[in-house]
Amino acid sequence: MGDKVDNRRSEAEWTRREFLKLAGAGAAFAALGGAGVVSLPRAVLAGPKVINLNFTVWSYSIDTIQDNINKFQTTYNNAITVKLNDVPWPQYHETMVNRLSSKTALHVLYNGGDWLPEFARAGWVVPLEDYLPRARTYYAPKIVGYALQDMTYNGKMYGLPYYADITTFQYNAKLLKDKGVAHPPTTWEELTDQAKFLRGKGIESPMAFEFAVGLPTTYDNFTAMMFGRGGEWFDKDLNPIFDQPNSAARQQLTWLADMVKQKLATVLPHETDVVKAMNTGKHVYTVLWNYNLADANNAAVHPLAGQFKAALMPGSTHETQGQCKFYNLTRYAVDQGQETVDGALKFIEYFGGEYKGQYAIAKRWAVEKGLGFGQLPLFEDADVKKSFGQWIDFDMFKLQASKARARRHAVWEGIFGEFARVQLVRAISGEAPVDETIGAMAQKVKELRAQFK
Amino acid sequence: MAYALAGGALAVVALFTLYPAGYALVGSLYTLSPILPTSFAGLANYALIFDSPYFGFALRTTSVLALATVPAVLLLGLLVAVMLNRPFRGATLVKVVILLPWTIPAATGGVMWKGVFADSWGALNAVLYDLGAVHNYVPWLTTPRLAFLATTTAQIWAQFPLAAVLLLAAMQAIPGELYEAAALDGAGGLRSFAAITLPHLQPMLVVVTLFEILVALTAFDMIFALTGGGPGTATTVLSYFIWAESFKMLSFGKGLALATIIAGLSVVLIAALMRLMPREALVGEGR
Repeated sequence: MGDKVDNRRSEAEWTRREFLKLAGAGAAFAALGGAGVVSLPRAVLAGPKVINLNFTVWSYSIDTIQDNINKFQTTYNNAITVKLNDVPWPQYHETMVNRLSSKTALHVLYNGGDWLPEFARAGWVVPLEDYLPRARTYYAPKIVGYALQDMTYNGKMYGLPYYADITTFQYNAKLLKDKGVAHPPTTWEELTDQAKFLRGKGIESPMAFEFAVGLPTTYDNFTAMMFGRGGEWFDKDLNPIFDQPNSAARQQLTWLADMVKQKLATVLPHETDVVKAMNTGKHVYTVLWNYNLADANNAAVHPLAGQFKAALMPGSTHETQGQCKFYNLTRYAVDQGQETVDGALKFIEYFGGEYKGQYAIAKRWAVEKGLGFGQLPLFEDADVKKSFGQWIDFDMFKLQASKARARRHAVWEGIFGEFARVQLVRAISGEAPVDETIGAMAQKVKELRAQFK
Repeated sequence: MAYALAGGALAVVALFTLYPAGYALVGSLYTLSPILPTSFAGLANYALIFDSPYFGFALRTTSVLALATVPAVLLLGLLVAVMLNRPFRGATLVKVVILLPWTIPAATGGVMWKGVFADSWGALNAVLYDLGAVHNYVPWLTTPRLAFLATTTAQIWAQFPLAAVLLLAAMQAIPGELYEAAALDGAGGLRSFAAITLPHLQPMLVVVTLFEILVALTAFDMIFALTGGGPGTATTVLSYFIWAESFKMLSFGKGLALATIIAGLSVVLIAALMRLMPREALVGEGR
């Protein structure tokens, strides 16, 4: 019994001598093989090199983004792989500042006009046109003005559009008609009159807004409304003009605070809440990024789908805010060398530019999600027109887009935006008088200009 | 040997307390921002904070939060401890359930309470609407006073279980003979509670009070998840203000100056409270 056990052990286990023999043979084999390998050409030695990219986005439709990435990787036979990271939208700015300043491995990211000056001045992102000259020569003429403006800093174009959208005035056309109002308001003051009339008809709070201190969109929504009055935050030299005695900003904030005080308007913390609230039939008007209209009119999700329309932004000029979020190449990617840059450029162009003559990804966002676009050819694309036509009057969309403009962006706008939205909500919620909050914002601009001079 | 042991402990304290505190103190004297060059600022960060009305708002909000939550947590904790101190069927299960809010991470608790208080889809509005108590949803989280009320409620909910457990432990350490003697002397439940239970609970009440004051002073995660400091600045407490200055305004020097101020305030407050307390309340002497 004991012998049997010993024999089995000698078969299954190595003695030290056997191990040394095998190791010696292995080393000799490796040395011979190594010598052979050294004699091979470098290209054969390296094999097909794979470029690995990190792509950071905010958390919106991650499945669609990943699917787009999969298609991109397949197109390039997996010679370029892309790892997707997402960050919650409300924390995107500060998260990216911390990641970029700590030199986190990040090759391409979503950026926006409000953060571009800050990121560019810090040297974290680089102009796309410096690495892809056709961005300027070929793509720029095909991009809508507000989108190009949002992607430009110091005269350089920094990216290609992920999406570019406008903020629109949206209303429940059926409810308005049923209650006896012939047309949507053309000015904010007319809106107040209509709201009072509608209250008399049983609509307690005719307007619903999205305003919350945690949301960058708060600043956007207010800006769009103020643009309707022809207003602006800063002059061309980035001096504040919003604090002037009768500025459009002061008028609009006063109007908003009054509407909320009279309970003619309801404030909700997120655009999805507003879309749901509009679909209860208790509200008639709202101001949101245009893609929300696609959601509101989606019959598969909402009970009142089909009743909502867009009208020109109320006010004297009917302007609105247009903006662009774009794919931006990082300094980190550039520091990794030309192969990485080439891979990243292919990725950016596939996502934001043309591939085989098609703006495939931008078109997909437009058709499937109702996201706006910065590429002018898509305004004439039959599929896009058909898709948009299901939830918006496309001519109205084009008209409002023609009256859209981007904000003037300062290098400190990322910080100012964070501060401003707290002040806007303080005024709207009745926590502080409008004049106090306007004064606080003006003071903040003064501080920031001194810091960043 | 004794010095070596003490040295080890001191090293740990130095690494995890003195070094961060020193770093914060030094950092508070600089302009520290990821998007600006670092430069010596002297006391400018402190001057900016004291000049800013938001420091006053945050200090006031924090104080009101502490004044609202600490007594409520103590009272609720005491009530629950008294109830649990009596044997009853299923007592263990009830203790576990009551402790549950304390075991839930504060940020998760904040999200849960958001589900309760959310204006258009919250559970509370749904119940009130179903009962016919309201005809339109109540803007709990978008009206300053209501948002503060919601925050206070959530904070009390998260904190009272620990107070209850600590007070229950202290109650169970009171010798039963004292209650028997009191009963023989004809003392009723309330009299026994006032003459025996409360005096014996005094040291633990002091500990819980100090702890809850510190919790209120450093409250952050629940508020971050529930209201994000808003609407406006209605629920912006000091800790949230530190975070916002550091990560929203990208002014780490100012954030560190604020942290230093709050640490100083906490030390002063606790020292003052301890001085005001009778010595026997702290060490349980005199019984």
